[in-house]
Amino acid sequence: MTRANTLLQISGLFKEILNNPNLTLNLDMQTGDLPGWDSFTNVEILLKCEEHFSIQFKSKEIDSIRTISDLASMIEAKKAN
Amino acid sequence: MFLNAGEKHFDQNRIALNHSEGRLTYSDLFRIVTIPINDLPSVEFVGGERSIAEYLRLFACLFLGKPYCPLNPKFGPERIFAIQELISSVESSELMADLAYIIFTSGTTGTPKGVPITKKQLTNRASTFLQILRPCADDRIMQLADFSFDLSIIEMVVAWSSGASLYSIPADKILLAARYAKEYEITIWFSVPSVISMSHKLGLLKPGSLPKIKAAFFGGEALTFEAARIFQLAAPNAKIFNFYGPTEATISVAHFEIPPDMLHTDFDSRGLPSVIPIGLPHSDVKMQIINPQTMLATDGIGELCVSTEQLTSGYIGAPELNTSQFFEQDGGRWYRTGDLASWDERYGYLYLGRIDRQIKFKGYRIELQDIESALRAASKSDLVCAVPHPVLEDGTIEGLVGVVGRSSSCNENTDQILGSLTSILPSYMVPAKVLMIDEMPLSINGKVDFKAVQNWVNEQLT
Repeated sequence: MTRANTLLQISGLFKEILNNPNLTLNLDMQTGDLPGWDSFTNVEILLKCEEHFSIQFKSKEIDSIRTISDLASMIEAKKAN
Repeated sequence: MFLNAGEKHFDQNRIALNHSEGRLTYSDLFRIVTIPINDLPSVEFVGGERSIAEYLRLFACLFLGKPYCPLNPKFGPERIFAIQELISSVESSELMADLAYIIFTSGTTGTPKGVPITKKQLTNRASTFLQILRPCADDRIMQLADFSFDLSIIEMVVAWSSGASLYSIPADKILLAARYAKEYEITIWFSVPSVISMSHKLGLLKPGSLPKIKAAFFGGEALTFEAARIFQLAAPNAKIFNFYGPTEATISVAHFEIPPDMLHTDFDSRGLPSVIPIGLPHSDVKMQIINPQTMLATDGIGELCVSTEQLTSGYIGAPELNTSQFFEQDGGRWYRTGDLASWDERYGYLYLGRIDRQIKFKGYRIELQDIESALRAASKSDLVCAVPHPVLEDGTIEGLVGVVGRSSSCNENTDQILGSLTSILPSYMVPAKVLMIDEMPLSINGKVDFKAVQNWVNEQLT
């Protein structure tokens, strides 16, 4: 899975959850950086990522995810194992 | 001072705090209390980030008996400034002599009102919880509550005075509480009831998923039968308690341990509301139901009032409320909770809702009037209304909506209104949406008809 491909899929999930087909993500974005992306929708996004990529994050892994870049790295690491 | 038992008896290598930033043993905690904090007569402000550094400061306050005032990052800078000003006005008063903490709740005028609680009151209430809970050093206690919510104090005192481990769940991951609880093998669960319905909705509270939980405490909001059933299925070995109490009476005044058969589907709930009873008052509390118009005791539905040595000496910053919310009767001082209740011979007191327009949202106590006064200022319209929406079937509030009545001079730019609200109100009070309405529904006496507005919002957003 290439980084670009992972990011593209994450972006699709964000658009779906935040109901905004025009949003653009960047790697440094964190919760709160987009309209509607609060701690509640952030949990929905994490759960959606788990479902979409067929993975399950551990609590410690969730704690370490701050940015879009962290999220993409974590997904790729989980898929690689 | 609240925690000195710990120093004497605990295995110092046990984990006192498990946090996303790291773990602290009891030895780590006791080492830091030797670090001098500011002069004892002042009130220590503790931010609401729940970082390890803030836990250490709070532990030092509890251990050394230094009064503290929790701030919440969701309070805007103006609110924080107002709170700091009020605190500085009491630092030279006699209030400081036995002060444990001051918690600020929302006030009807938008001005924060401070509730001072003494060390004696906190110690009394902590011992009530310790007697009910009987925690041991092997327990793992989950903390979701923000420091500005008084439940957090009980969680810390219960954990750290019994040598147990406190597991702090990051504030932005509260919806994942069930997953953290499972992974960390939490044995004692504390939360507001809405965590159950939100976790259930996300598919995170599966039957049998929390077998390690031996006790679960719900407070701060009404606990519905439905939510309690969902939790019991997920945590089949847990005793489930419903706690009730205003901040003004030191965290809790009554509790009800749910008998397991009460949550069976064939339980006969006739005569009961859809929420779990609040049960009987603690041994140091008297309760009565009064008719709010006549102020006389009633056998029917009325306002729940409490009298106890656990009552705050009075609000800081809202002295007018000290005469309207407290009254003397038969030699006792009573507090009007603003909650509607009735008495049931079998189960004790039953909670039936709020008399005024106070709601609980994401665990925060919010006066809808506060949002409306900000909305009025931001929209320049006199006719405004704030309503909860959406509201789940079990009563859980998932969002807030502001409604502005159109007028010739009002601001119709809803984005601009929302922007202004963000600077005036704590973030948890800012509505998700502001809607413009051509004609605000009014009651016969010319007041905004909240129910009609609620129905209109439900129609607009469904």
